[in-house]
Amino acid sequence: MSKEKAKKNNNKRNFIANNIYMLKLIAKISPARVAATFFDTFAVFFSRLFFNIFFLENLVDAIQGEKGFYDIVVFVAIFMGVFLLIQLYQSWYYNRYLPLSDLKITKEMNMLLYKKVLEVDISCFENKDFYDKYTVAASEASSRAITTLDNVSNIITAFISFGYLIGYMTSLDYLAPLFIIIPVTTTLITNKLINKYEHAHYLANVPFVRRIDCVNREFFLKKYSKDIRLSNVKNVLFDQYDEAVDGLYKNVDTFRRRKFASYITRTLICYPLTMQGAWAYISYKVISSETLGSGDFVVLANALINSTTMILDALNSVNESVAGSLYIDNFRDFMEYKPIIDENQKGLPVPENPVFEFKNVSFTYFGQEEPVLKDLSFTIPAHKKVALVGHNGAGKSTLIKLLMRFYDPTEGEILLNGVNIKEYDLQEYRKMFGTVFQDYQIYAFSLKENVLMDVYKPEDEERCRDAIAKSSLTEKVDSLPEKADSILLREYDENGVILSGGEFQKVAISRVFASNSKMMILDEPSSALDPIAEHEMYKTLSKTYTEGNGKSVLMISHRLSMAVSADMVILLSGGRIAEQGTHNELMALKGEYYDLFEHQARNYV
Amino acid sequence: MKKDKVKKEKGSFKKTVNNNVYILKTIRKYSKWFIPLTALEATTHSIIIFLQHFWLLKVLIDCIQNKAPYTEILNYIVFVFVLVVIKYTIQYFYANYFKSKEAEKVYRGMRMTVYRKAVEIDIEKYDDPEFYNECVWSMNECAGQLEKTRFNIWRLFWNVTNILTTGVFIAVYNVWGLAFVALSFALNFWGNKKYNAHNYELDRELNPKYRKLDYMSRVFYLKDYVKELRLSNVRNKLSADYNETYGEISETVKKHSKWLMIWSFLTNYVFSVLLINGIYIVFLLYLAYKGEVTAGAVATLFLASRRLDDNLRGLSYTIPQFGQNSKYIEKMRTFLELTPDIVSPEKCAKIENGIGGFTLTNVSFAYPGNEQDTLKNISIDIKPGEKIAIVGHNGAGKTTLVNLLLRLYDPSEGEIIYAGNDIKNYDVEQYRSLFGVAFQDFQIFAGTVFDNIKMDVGETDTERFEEANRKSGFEEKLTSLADGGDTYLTREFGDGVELSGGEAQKLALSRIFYKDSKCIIMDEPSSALDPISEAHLNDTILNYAEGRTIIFISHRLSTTRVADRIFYMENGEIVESGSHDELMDLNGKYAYMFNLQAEEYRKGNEQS
Repeated sequence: MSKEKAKKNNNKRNFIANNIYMLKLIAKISPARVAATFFDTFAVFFSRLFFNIFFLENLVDAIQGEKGFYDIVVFVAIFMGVFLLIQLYQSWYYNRYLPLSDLKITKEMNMLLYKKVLEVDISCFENKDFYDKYTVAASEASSRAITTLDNVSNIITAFISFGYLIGYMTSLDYLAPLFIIIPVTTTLITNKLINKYEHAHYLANVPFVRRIDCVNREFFLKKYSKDIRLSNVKNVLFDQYDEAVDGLYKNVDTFRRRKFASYITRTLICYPLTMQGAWAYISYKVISSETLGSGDFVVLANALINSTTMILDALNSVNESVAGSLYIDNFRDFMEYKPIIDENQKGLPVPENPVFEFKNVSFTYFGQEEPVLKDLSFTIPAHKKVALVGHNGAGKSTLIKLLMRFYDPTEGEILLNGVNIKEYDLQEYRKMFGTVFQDYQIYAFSLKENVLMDVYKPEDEERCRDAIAKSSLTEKVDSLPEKADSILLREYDENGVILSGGEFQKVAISRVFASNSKMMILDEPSSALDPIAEHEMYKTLSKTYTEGNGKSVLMISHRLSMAVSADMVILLSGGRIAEQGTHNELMALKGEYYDLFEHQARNYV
Repeated sequence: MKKDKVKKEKGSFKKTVNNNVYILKTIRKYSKWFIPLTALEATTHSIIIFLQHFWLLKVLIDCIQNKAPYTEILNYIVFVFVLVVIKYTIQYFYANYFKSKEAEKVYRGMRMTVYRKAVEIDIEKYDDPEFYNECVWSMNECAGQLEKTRFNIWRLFWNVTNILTTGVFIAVYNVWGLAFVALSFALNFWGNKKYNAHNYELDRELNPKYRKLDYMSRVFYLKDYVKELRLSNVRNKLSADYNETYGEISETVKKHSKWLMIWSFLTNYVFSVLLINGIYIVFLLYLAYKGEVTAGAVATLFLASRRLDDNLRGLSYTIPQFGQNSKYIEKMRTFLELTPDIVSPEKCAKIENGIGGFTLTNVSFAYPGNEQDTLKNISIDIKPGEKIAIVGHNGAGKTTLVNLLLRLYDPSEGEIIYAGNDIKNYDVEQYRSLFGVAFQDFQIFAGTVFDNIKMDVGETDTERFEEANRKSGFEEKLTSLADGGDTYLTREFGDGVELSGGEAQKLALSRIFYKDSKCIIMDEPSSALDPISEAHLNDTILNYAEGRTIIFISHRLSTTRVADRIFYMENGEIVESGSHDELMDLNGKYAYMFNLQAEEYRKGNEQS
C-alpha cells in the first residue's frame, strides 16, 4: 500500500495544469468574474506604472520648458478623468460585484462538491487519508478557487508589465533592463531554495503544532473538563506541551542556519545592489550627459525602483500558485474519484414483499487482512422480525452496511427475491430501509423536518403527527413553545431547542415511522432510553411492524431481551453465524446463545 | 440614543488603551525584549528605507545640480549601501531567530497561565454556551492574538516613523505640502469611519446567515452525516435551506453596497488621488513655473507626499486594529480574572486515611440559569464501604447528584458531609482524589496507554498497572498492541491506535483500578459492553469492592440488584430507597421498572 502511495505522489500533476484546471472551473461558473478580476488587476498595475513613471516624466518634461502651464494642467485633468473611471469601477467591483460573485462561486463550488460527496463510496470516509484530504478540499474549495484566479491574473498582468518595462527601459538606455532582469532572476532562483527550506521547516513543525493544538482542545473542550478536574492528567498535558515547544525551538535553530545563505543573497542582490547600483549608474549617465538634468534623474531612479518592486511583488503570486497547486491536486483527486458503487445506478424496481438471502457472503475492509464476515448464508423472510445478536466486534454493523449496499461483499452475493441486489435501482433500493443508526444525527431544522427528513409540505402533516405519536413524543412536542415547528439545536438559532438524549433518539425513531420503508433496521436503538421508555418503544415497534403493517424488521442489540419475541435470532461470533433459530430453539441448544442469555437474565429471575 | 453611543465610544477608547497596556505588560512578563526590539526593528527599518529612497535621492539631486564630482556621489551611495546591508543582516536574525524564539516563549507563558486557569474555574462556567464560546473556547486562540499584538506594534512604529521622516522632509522643501496631506488625512479618516460603520452594519446582518451556511456545509461534508444523507431525502431540505440563505445574503449585500460604494469612491479617489495627485500637483507646477521650486524638487515632493499620504492612511487603518485586539484582550481578562466559587478553604480539614461515609442533609441544586431545581431536598446517608445504586428515569437527577458528591458543583442549599466535615472544608484536589470515577462520557486523551491509565506523569507501578488491566479486562487488548503501554492512543496526532467503544470503556475502568481509590463512582459503566463483558465487569467490581464505597448509576436494573441499597430517583427526589428485596416487596416504582425489564427475560426463560 505504501508503495502505491509513493507512486501516486510522484505522479502529481504539474502546477500550471492545476491552475488552469481551477481557472476553467471558475470560468464555467462565471465568465464575467474572470473578466472583471483581470480588468481590476490590470487597472491596479496600470495605476502604479502610470503614477511612478509617465506622470512624473511628463511633469518634469513640462517644467523643463517643453510645455506651457496650461497644457500641463489639461494633461493632469485628463488623467484625473481616467482615474475617476478606474476608481468608479473599483468601488463597484470591490463593494458590490465581488461579494456577490464570491458568494455565487462558493455556492456553485459547494454544489459540485456536495453532489460528489453523495457519490463517493462510504468506504472512503473510513479511510483516514482520503477523508483528511477531502475535508480540506471541501472546506477550502471556494476560497482556493478565488485565490487561484487572483494569482493567475496577477501573474499574467505582471508578465505583460515586465515585457513592457523591459522595452521601455531599453528605449532609454540599453543597459537599464539589466537592473530589472538581474533581481528577477535572482529571486526566482533563491526563492526556490528558500521555499524548500521553509517547507521543510513547516513540515518539521507539523507534529509539534498538532500536538499543541491537541493539548489546547483537551484543556478547553467541555467534554474533557470533568476528567481533567478529577485526575492529574493535566500534568501529562503540560509535559506534552513542553516537549512540543522544545521541538519548535530546535527547529528554529536548525533552519535558521540553512536558510541564511540564500536569504542574504536574495536580499542583497534585489535591494541595495540593484537599487543603489542603478542610481550610481544613472547619476553617472546624467552627469556625463549634456542634455539630462536632475529631473530626469528622479524620473529614471524612481522608475527603476518601482518597476523592480512591482515585478518582485508579482513573483509572490507565482509562489502562491505553486503552493496552491498541491491543494488543487487534492481537490481534483476527489472530484475525479471513480466510485465502486455507482450511487445513481438505475436498475430493476424493488419488489413489494422483500426476501433477502445472503449466499456465502464474506467481507474484508480495505487495507485489512482478516475478513470481518466469513462465508455467511442465511435468509430473511418477508414480514419477519429478525434479531441480530453477538459480542462487540462480531460483525453485526458490517452486515447491515452490506445489506444497505454501502459496501459490496468481497465474496458471495446478497439476493433480493432471487436477484442480486446490485441489479436494482440503487436510490430506490436504499429507500426500502427505514434505519435508526447508533450514531443517528439530529439536524438544525424544525422538528417536523427532522422527522420527515425532507422539506415540509402541508400534505405531510398527518404522516408527521402520526410518526411523532408512535414514537411517544407527542407529549414532549406539545410542551414546546412552537410545537412541532420548533427549530432543534442551537447551531444558528439562539432559540433552538435542545432535547435530552432519549428524546433525540425518539426523533430518530420517528423517522422510521414517517418513511415508507419496507424494512426497518434498528441498530441498538434503546441505548439512551430508560427502561420504561425502552419498554414502550419496543411495544410500539412490535405492534406497528409485526402485527400491524407486517413489514420486516432487523434489530441489532446487546440486550437479549428483545430477541425473545423475534421470529428468528442470528447469533454472530467472529464473523460467522454461530447459531440461528428462534429463541426457544437456541435456548434448547444450550450453546453460546444460552450462555449469553443466562448471563443477562440471571439477575432478573 | 446617539449621545449614548458617543459616550460609549469614549469609554471604549480608554478601555482600548487599558487593555493594550495590559497585554503589553503580560508579554513583558515572559519576554523583556520582545516588544521593545519589535518597535526598534520597525523604526530602524523605516529610517533605512527613508535614507535609501528619499534622502539619497535628494542628496544626489543636489550633487547633480551643483555639478559635484562623481566620487562624492559614489561616496553617498556606498554609505547607504553599507547601512542597508547591515540592516538586512540584522533583520534576518530578528525575523528568523529572535522573533520565532521569543514568540514561542511568550506563547508558552501565556498558554500555561490560561491552561492553569481553565483547570481551576468552576465547571458551571462550561454550562452557559454563550459564556463558554466567548470566554473559554476562544482562549485557544490566545497565541494568535499575541502575534496580532506584535504586528500592530510593528505597524504603529513603522507608520509613525515614516510619517515623521517624510513629513520633516516635505516641510523642509515646501510647507504647503503638509497642509494638503493633512487635509487628505482628515477627510480620509472621516470617510473611513463612515465606510466602516456601514461595513459593520453589513457584517452584523450577515454573520448569523453565514453561520447558517457554514452549518449546511458541515452537514454535507462531515462523515457523521454521510449515511443518513444517502438513505433519506434530507438533502432536499438542506439544499432548500442553502438556497434560501444564499438569497438572503445576496439581498443584504445589495442593500448595503450602495453606501459602501459611495464612501469607498470618496476616500480612494476624491480625498486622495484627486487631492494629492491632482490639485496638489497643479499647485506645485504653478510654483515651478513661477521658478520657486526646481523640477527635481517637484518630483521628489510628489513622491514624498504620496508616501506620506499612504502612511497616514495606513495609520488610520492601524489604529482601529488596536480596538479590535482590545475586544479579545477583554475576553482574556474576563477569563483570567474569573474567581472560582469552588475553592479550597484557607485552613483545610485533614482527610483521614481509611474510608469515611457521606451524609447529605437537605441538599437542593439548580443549574445556573435554570429556575427549576434539578435536585430537591435530598437527605441521605452513605456508610463507609456501602454499595449504592442510583436508578431512575432519564433526567431524574442521578448524574447531578454524583457531580455534587465530587464537588464539581456546590449545592444551592443544604450540605454534604464526608467523614465528619463539610466537603467544602477539604482541599479540593485532595478531596477529589479520593474518588475513582468512570463517567458515561469519559474521554481518551491523546497520549500513551500508560498516560491514559495513570492519568498523571511519573513512574508506572508495573504490578499495579498489570493488575488493573487484568481486572478491567483491558489486558487482552493491551497484549495485542505492539508497543504495549507505550502505544499512542487516538489519531489526534501521529498514527495512534483508535480503541473501540467497549475497549475504551475497559480502559476507563483500568484507570479506577490503578488509582485504587476509596470511593468508586460509575455512571452507566457497562452501556457499551456486550453481555459477557458486562457480567465479567459486575463480578470484578463486586470482588474489588471489598472495603470500598461504590456508587453506581445504571439503567440496567440487573446490574444494580447486587447493591446494598438502591435509591430510586424521580424529578430530583429520592422516592424509594432500600435493598432490592425491600423495594420489590414495596411493590412501588422500582418494582414496576424492574419487572418491565425482567418481563422479556422471564418470558424467554419460561418459553425455554
